[in-house]
Amino acid sequence: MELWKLNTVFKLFLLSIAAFFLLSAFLHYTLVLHYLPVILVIGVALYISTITNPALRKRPSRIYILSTTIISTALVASIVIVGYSTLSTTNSCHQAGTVPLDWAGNVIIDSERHPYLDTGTTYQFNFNLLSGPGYRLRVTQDPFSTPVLHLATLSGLTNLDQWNFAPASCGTYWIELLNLGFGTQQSSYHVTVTSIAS
Amino acid sequence: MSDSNISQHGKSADSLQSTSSRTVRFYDALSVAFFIAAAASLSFLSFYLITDFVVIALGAMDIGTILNAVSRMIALRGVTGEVRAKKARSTVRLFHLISYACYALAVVVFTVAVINLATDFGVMGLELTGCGTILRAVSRSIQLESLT
Repeated sequence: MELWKLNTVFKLFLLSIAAFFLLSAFLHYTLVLHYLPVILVIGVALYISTITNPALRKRPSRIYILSTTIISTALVASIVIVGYSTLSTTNSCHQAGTVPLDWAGNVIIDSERHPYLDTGTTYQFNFNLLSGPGYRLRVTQDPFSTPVLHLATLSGLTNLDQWNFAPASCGTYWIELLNLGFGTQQSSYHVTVTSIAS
Repeated sequence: MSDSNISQHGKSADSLQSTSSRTVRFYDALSVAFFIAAAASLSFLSFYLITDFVVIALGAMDIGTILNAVSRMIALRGVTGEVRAKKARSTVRLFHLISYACYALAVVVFTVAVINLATDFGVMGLELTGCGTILRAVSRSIQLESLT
C-alpha cells in the first residue's frame, strides 16, 4: 500500500477513535475508554509495521526475524502494562479529602478546575466574587458538558452562591468560570468545595 | 535547441525531480510523526477524561493531513499521461471521502458547542472543518492540474 493511502486510512482510524470517545462521553459510558490504549497500540503497531516492513525485507532474514520479535515483544509488554494499570483502577473510588478544592484568583476570559469528588458524600460549593464585574459559573461532570449540574451568575448584586451536591458517581467534575467583563476588567474569585456529610 | 541546452535542460529536470522526491519523503515522514503524536494524545483520554486531548489530537491530525495531501500533490506532478489521470482520480475520490467524514463529525461537534456553549467543542469543530476544507482544496488543485 502506498504511504499516502496508509496515512489516510490511519487518519480515518484516529477520527473514529475521537468520535468513539465523544459518543461514550455523551452517553456517560466511559468505562470502555480504559481499553483505548490497547486499541491505539494495535492500530499504531499495524501502521508502523506496514511502513517498516518493506525496508526490513531488504535486510537479511535474521535481522528481519530479530526486529519483528523485538517489536512484537515491546508491543505485547506495553499492552500488558497499560491494560494492567488501567483495569486495576476500574471500580475503585479513592478518597477525595475534606476540601477537594480551594481555588482563588482572577478570571480574565475563562478559567476551569477539575476536582475529584467521591460518591456517597455531600459537598458544599461556595462561589465568591471578591471584586470585578462578575462571572458566570458552570458545574458539569467530566468529560462532557452535558447535563449542566449547576449554573449561576455572580455580579455586583449577588456576590455569593452556595450549592450542595451529592455525586452519583466518583470522578472528576468540571468547574468553569466565565468573566463578564472585557479586556482589563478581570474578576477576582474564591471558590471552595468542602465535604459536609458522608 | 543546441546539444548543450538539451543537456542543461535534462540536468535541471533531474535535479527538480530529485528535489521533489526528497520533499515528498520529508513530508511523508513528518506526517507519520504527527499522526503518531495524535494517537499518543488520544491515548491520554483513558487516563484523563479531558476533551483538550481530542483538541490536541485533531490539531496534530490536521498538520499530518496537510503534509500528506501536499506530498501526494507533489508526487503526482512527477507522473504523466493516462497513469496520472487514473492516480489523480483515485486520490481525489479518497480525499473527498475523508473530507465528508471530517465535515460530518464537525456538524455534530458544532451542534454540541452551540447547545452547551462549550468552547472546546467549537475548536474541535473548526479543526475538523479545516481538515475537510484542506482536502477539498488539494483535491481541486489535483483535478485542475490533471486537466492541463
